[in-house]
Amino acid sequence: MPQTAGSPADTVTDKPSRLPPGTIPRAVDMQVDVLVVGLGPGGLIACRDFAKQGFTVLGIDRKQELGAPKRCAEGVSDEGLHFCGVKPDPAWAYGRIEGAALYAPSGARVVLEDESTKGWVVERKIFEKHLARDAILAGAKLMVKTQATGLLQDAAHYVAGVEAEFMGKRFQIRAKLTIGADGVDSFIGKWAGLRTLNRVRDYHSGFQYEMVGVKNIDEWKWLHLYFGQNVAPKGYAWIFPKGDNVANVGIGILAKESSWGNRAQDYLDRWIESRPDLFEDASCTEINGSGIPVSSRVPAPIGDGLMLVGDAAQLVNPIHGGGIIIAMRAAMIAARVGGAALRAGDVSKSALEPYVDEYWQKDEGAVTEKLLRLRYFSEHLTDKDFDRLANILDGNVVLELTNAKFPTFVKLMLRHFPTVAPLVRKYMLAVKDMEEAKAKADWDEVDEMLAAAEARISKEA
Amino acid sequence: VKVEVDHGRCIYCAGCVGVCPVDTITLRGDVLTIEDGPCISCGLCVQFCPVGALTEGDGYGGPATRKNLPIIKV
Repeated sequence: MPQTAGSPADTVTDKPSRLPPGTIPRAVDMQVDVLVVGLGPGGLIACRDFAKQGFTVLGIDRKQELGAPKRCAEGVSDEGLHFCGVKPDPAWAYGRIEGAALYAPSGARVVLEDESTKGWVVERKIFEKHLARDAILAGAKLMVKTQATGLLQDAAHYVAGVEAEFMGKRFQIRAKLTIGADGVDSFIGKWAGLRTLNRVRDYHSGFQYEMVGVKNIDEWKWLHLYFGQNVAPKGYAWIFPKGDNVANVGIGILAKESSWGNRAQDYLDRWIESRPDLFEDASCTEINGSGIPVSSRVPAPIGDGLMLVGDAAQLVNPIHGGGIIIAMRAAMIAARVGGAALRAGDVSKSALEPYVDEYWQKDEGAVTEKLLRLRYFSEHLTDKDFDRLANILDGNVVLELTNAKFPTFVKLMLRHFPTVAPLVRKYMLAVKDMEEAKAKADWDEVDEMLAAAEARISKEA
Repeated sequence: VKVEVDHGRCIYCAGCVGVCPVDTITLRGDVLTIEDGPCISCGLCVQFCPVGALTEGDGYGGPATRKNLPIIKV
């Protein structure tokens, strides 16, 4: 066997480069202002927005290719993209979406269509490369194939970056502020002692195929959501069109409902088999899976020198399970608050508190918290209830619901469906405590309606 | 071994990592690893798995403690 000249020690992997750190990946100790762990949509927006403020930013991701494998159905809204300053590009904005159709077990359909339901099903592999481009052009450096292996902690117990591994070599990345955007399996938060554990009560087991050759869809410009205990217990199955005849076909079931023979994959396969009208000419180009944190959030996604965004902070819409835009919006707030904290030289937990306040009081958090109650409520509905709901609700009411505006819904239900009043009170009225003063009148109205209905029920009984 | 991974079935979505109460599951690249020691056999990961890639073996994996956190003092 011919001898190879030199030795493994001559490889460049752990030798410093003359270029700025992170230009080409090297396992050498480095120091930055902001370290972002995890480069999904949330992490990449954090990289972009911190870099825009002039900070030195390093983003790391354990995968060697951003964007794959995807863990979602790839839906994003027009207004979300616009808010985050991301212009749809035909390179990744594949499936144009104008609305959504919800199907009850009976097949009855409610169609939702307004400004908020317009958007795209994107190709995440390319979408994330574009977000990465924005981040790098704003001045951030990214290192892929780089796994965080431990948390650096300084004498004052502040998070001071991570120990990481690149191509088998360990090194330290020190940072004034660390952003944990490392997904549903986040270790950054756990290592820092934040309560990020997912409970199967508030966690969906997700499974999906990307399929080509799907046919007979009512409308290619709608997202299609299918409900029913036999279809997807305490969840739903979906078809997210991604251009003609291509679609993400998936399912999310409450993890608590999962068991042998009745897992997400079992349910999805059975459902697909039951619909040859849609799928007999189709075949799969991808298999995806995921845990979907539908708890609305971790209790406190911040620590000294640390902020969590995206799935790592369980920032997902508890009703539909979407989290791309939510992660990106939270990352923007994190960058704004974190940037101010860095400039003031104080990255303590209390200095980062405005991130939590702003997200949960003024941004998506305010809605998701309420939607969590709606989720608990909907989990108690039977197939028969869903069928009846599909007959009495129109798209506008459902849209109000998804924006956590409940009075019209409650009014309708009590008219058609008075026996569910106790359920409404139990699971939805808890929201009342969280409401801001201006919405209080709505709740008083709901309360009165419930009280009247309950009085009527007890009288009849 | 408490919980075994069927690497042929695993789609490395890492959802099980998110439900493990004792942080004993890790995903590196496309390899899912479950450490025997800290596993408390709660079965949550097995229940969650969308494809049934995790199975509970027999035997006791060790004391039910949270593993040593990889905190590096600097």
